[in-house]
Amino acid sequence: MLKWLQPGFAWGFTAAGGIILLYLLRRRHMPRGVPSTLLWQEVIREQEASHPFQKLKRHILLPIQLLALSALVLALMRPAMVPEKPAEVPTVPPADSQEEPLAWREADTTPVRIAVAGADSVFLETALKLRPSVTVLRTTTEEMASAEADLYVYVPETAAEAESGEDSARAPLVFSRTPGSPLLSWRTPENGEEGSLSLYGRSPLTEQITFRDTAVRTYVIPVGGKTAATVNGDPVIAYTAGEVMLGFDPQDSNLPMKYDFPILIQNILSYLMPETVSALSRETVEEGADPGEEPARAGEEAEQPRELGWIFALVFLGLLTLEYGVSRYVG
Amino acid sequence: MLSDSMISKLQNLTLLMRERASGGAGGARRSRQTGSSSEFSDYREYVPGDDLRRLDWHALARFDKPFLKLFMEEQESAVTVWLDTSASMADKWESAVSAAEAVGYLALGAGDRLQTVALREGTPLVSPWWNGRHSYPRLCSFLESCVPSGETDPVKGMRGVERIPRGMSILITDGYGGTEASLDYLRYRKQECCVIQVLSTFETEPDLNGDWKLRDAENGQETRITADRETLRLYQGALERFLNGTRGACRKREAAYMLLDGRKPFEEDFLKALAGSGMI
Repeated sequence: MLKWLQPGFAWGFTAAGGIILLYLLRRRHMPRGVPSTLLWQEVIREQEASHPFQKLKRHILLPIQLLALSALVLALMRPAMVPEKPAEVPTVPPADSQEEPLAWREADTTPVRIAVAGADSVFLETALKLRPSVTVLRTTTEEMASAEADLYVYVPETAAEAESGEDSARAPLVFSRTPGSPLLSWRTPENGEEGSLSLYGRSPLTEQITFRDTAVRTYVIPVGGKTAATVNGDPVIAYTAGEVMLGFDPQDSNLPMKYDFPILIQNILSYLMPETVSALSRETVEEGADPGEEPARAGEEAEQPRELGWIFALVFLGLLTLEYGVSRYVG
Repeated sequence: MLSDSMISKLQNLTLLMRERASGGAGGARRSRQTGSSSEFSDYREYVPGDDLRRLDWHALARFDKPFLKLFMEEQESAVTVWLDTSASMADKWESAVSAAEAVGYLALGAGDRLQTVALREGTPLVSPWWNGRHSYPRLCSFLESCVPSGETDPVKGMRGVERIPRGMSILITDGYGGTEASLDYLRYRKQECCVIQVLSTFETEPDLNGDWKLRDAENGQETRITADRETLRLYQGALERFLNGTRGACRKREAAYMLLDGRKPFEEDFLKALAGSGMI
C-alpha cells in the first residue's frame, strides 16, 4: 500500500502555478513596423537551419520544469510502500457475543477436547469455545497428564501472584499438544515490564491481528522457538512445533478487550491443530509457518516501509540535467 | 525639391546613354540617323535631288566627282523614371523622391523627354511627357502627389503603361518587389536600364535589441525575432546577399546600379553613387 510519509510537502505543487505565471508574464515581443520582413525571415530560416531544435526548445522547457517540480515534491513527500495491515473488521465476534462465526460453523466439525489447568480465565475459555466443536475440560496441573485431550493449556497465576507481590512466580500461558513440562523455556525481563504489544514479522499466530493499542502490564520472555510478537523489543509470543507460549497473562493486559484476542486464540488452535481446520485455513497456516523463513528478517521486511522517494529524486535530477542540457545546448 | 547647391552640381552632369537616340524630336543626343548637326559623319556619292549646299566642292575639284558631306543627326531621348510607391518605401520616401527629382533634372537638362511613373497598388500613376529644365517644378509637384502605400507588383504596374518609347528607364526601388523581373520586362521594351536601390537607416543598420514582433509594412506579415548580436550578424549577411543579388541582376542585364544608403546624407551619397554607377 502506497503511503506518504511527509504529505505536507504537497504544498510544493503550488509552485507549479508560479512557474506557469512566470511563463505567462515573461517579456513579450514588442510590435514594430518594418518596410519588409523578407530579410528577417531569411535570418530566421538560417537560424533554424543551424539550430534545428530552436522551436523544440521553446516548447519543451515548460513541461520539463513542471515535471521536475513534480518529481521534487513527490520525492519530498517520501512515498513508501508499507505492508498492508489487516483491517480491524471483526471476522470473529467479540468474546461476549453469542453469535457464532459463519465460516467456522460450516468448516470446522471435528470434535476437539482442550484441557485447561491453572487460574480461571473466562476470556480464554470463551475464546476457546468460539469453535462449536471445542470442548473445554477444566482440570489441575497435576491431573493434566492423565487428561485425554487434543490440546493442553496452562494458565499462569500471574494476576493473583502479582497482587500478592510474588514476582518470581510469574509464568507464561502455554498451549501445548502434549501434557507436561513445556518445550520452550522462559526468563524474566531485566528492565521495564510494562509495554505495548507489537507484531514481529509474519507468523501464523498473528494472521489478521494488529495488536493496536494493546498494552501488557507484566510479562516473561519465552526462550527459543519463533517470535510472533514483542513487548519493549522482548519476545512475548513464541511458538514452535506443537507448542505456543504467551509470555503474559491475557488478563494482565487489555488484549481480551480487543478483537485481536479471540483471533489470536483461534490462530493458536489452527496452528497447533491444523487437522481441525478447513483446507483453505490450513493452507494459510502452512504458508505462514514456512520453516525456511527467517522470522526476524521477514519481520523487518514486513514492518519497514519501503521508501520510494529516491526514485522521484533520481527522476528530478534527470529532469534537471535535461532542462539544463536543453536550455544550454539545444537550439 | 532639391536644394540650390544640389541643382548647381547637377547642371554640369549629363545622363550617359549607350544606345543612340532614335525616333525622337531634335535634341542633344546622337541619333542613328544623319542630319543637320555640325558634327561630320561620312561622305557619299551625290545623287540627283541631294541638297547642293552639302556638296563637298574640294572633293569635286580633286577627284572630278561629286561627293556629299553627311552630318550627325541629334535627337532627344525618352527617359522614364519608375518610382516604387509601395508601403515599404515609406521610411525612405524622402531619399527616393530626391533621387527621382535628381535624375529627372538630369534628363530634362540633357534635352530629353521625361516621363515619371509611380508604381502603386492597382493602376500606376503616369505623368505627362516633359521637356526642358522649366518642367522641373512640374516634376516635383507630381512626385509630391505620390504617397507610398499598399503592396506593389512592379512588373504588373509596368504592364499598365501603354507607351514606353525606346530609351532609358530608371527604376527607383528598395528591391523587395523583385528587381530581376522588372529589368527583364524593361529590356523587353527596349529600355536601357538603371536601378537606384534605396534603403533606410533601419534596413542597413537595424537598431534592435531584445524580442520584437516585426510587421511587414506591405502585407502585414508578422515575424518574431530575438535581436541579439548573432541575429544582427545574420541579418547583415542576409542584407549583403540581397544587395549582391540586385547588383548581380543588374550586371547580368547590363543595367547601371547605384545604392542609396539611408545612413549617409543624400546629396553627398547620391553624387558619389551616381559617379560610381556609370550613369553620368
